[in-house]
Formats: sequence, structure tokens, C-alpha cells
Amino acid sequence: MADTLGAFEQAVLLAVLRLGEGAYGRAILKDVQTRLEREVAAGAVHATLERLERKGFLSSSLGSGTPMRDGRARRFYRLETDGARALDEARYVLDRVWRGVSRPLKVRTS
Amino acid sequence: MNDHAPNPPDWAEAIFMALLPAGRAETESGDLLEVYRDEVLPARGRVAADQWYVRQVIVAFAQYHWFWLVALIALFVMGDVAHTTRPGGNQGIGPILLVGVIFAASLQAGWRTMRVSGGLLAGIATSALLWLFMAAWWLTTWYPFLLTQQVDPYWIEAWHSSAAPNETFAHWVFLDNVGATIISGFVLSASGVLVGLAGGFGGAAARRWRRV
Repeated sequence: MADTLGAFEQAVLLAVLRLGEGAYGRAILKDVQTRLEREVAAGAVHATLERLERKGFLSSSLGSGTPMRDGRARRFYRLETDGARALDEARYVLDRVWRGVSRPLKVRTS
Repeated sequence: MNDHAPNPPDWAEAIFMALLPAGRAETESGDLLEVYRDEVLPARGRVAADQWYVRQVIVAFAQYHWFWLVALIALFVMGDVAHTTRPGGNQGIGPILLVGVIFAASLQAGWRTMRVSGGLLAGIATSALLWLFMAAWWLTTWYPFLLTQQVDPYWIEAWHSSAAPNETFAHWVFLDNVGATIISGFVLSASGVLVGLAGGFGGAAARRWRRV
């Protein structure tokens, strides 16, 4: 079974998947913030990217910088097969857990 | 951008770079600089943007070092409670353990960042944060601990033998805490630098040696 992914890790991996060739730090941060509808610290995204890369779920390569970042290189990320498998597994588990339950939840109060 | 492009505080950027592995410092600080200039600064102004940048650095520090800070605080609290309720034991073990954890934090940071500066930053920052916690802890616990100490024969004897004439027990305990806070500040500053350097050097050297 693949490594169990937390919600934040899933958001980061899905951002990389969605952004395709434009998946670098700032773009990923923005996508994660939009999807989670809250401000997210860049450090949290960077640390997660580093961890996911160490696990083999992502790979990265360096690209050119821009004047806005004083020419500092950009690190572009790519989703690897293991990462896609882990995302699939996480989705499958969630779907299975929620099967048969309609939303919004109705709770009986006595 | 030209030379007049707005920049976050130099010291904050230097700390951020020292937190990161050598190969990531440029790319990740570039990401942060881009957000700072392109989004935060136009929307919030210079002061708020600088505060935002400092917050990002603090969060990044916490991401990498929270475990060591929790370990340091837990060890310190356990040691202080033991010292108050069961005095007279081997009091030398506590400080050695604390310095050991600071060394471990520096070693790990040196290994992760592959730089001595990463270990040095870990040593200095964890020592400083521990000292801040110590000061706050002693300030808030001196009175509740005093209630325990004032009925303990060990502490009563210590008060009789070292207090100034007419000095109350409460005053003596309070001054003891103030003295401990000041001395701890000096000891932690020195050990943070020395242990941080040693740990950073050891961690970075071990990582490089392993790569060769």
C-alpha cells in the first residue's frame, strides 16, 4: 500500500499535477491557498515539497529566474508515478469511507 | 528589477537562507521574494509586508526545528519540577541534557543544510527560545512553587543558610529565580554559539563525507 497522504500533501501534489510545466514554488503556493481558501505559509509548502521529493513522489529541476526574484533560479516540480499512485490510493480510501453517506450530514438530536 | 527594488529585511532573508539546504536556498528565497514584491507589498504596504516576511521565516524555522524545541521545553519543565519538589538530587544532569539536545538540533541542521551556518543558527535560535521560555516559566511559577518549597525542610534550610538577614522566604526564592534567569541567559548564549558551531560543522562534514 502506498504511503498515506495527509490533506495538505494531497493539496500540494494536486497543485503540481494541475500546474503541469508551470509548477514552481510560488505557483504551487498560490494554487494551494486558492484550493484551501486560507493563507498558507510558504515554508509549509516548501517543507512539504522537500519531503514529497525525498519520498520519490515528486522530482524537480532548475529553471531560469526572473527580475522579480532578482534572477534567482526557479525549481520546477513534476509528479512521479509513485506520487500519482499515492494520490489515487488516498482518493480511493476517502471514496470508500464516504460511500453511502449523503452530504450535508444530518445528525439526529435527541 | 533594479537596485531600488524593495527588499525584505536583510537579516530576515539571511536567516531564511541559513535554514535551507544549500541547493534550495536560492530557489525558495526567490519564491518568497517574488510573493513579497508582487503580492504582499502592493496590497499591504512596506511595514506589513516586512512583518509578513518575518512571519514566513518564523514558520519555516518552526517547520524544521519544532521537535527540538518541544524536547528542550519538556526536559526543562520536568527538570525544574523535579528540582522544586525533590531537591538535593543530581542537579547536573538537567543542563547537560539540555546542551545535548541543542547539540543534536545543530548536528541535524548541519546535516540537513550541509552548512555550518545552518547548525549555528539552530544552536543560537533554540538556545534563545529556550531562554525566553525559561524566563516566562520562572516568572509564572515562582509563586505556586514557593507554596511547595516553604514547607520543605531542604528549602527552609537552604533559605536559612544563604538568605540575607531579615530577607523573607518569598523574596529569597524570587531573587533566586531572577539570578537563575540571568545566569541561564549567559550560559545558553555561550553554549548556543559553541555547540551550534560544533554541531553545524559535524553535521555538514558528515553529510559531505557520506556523499563523497
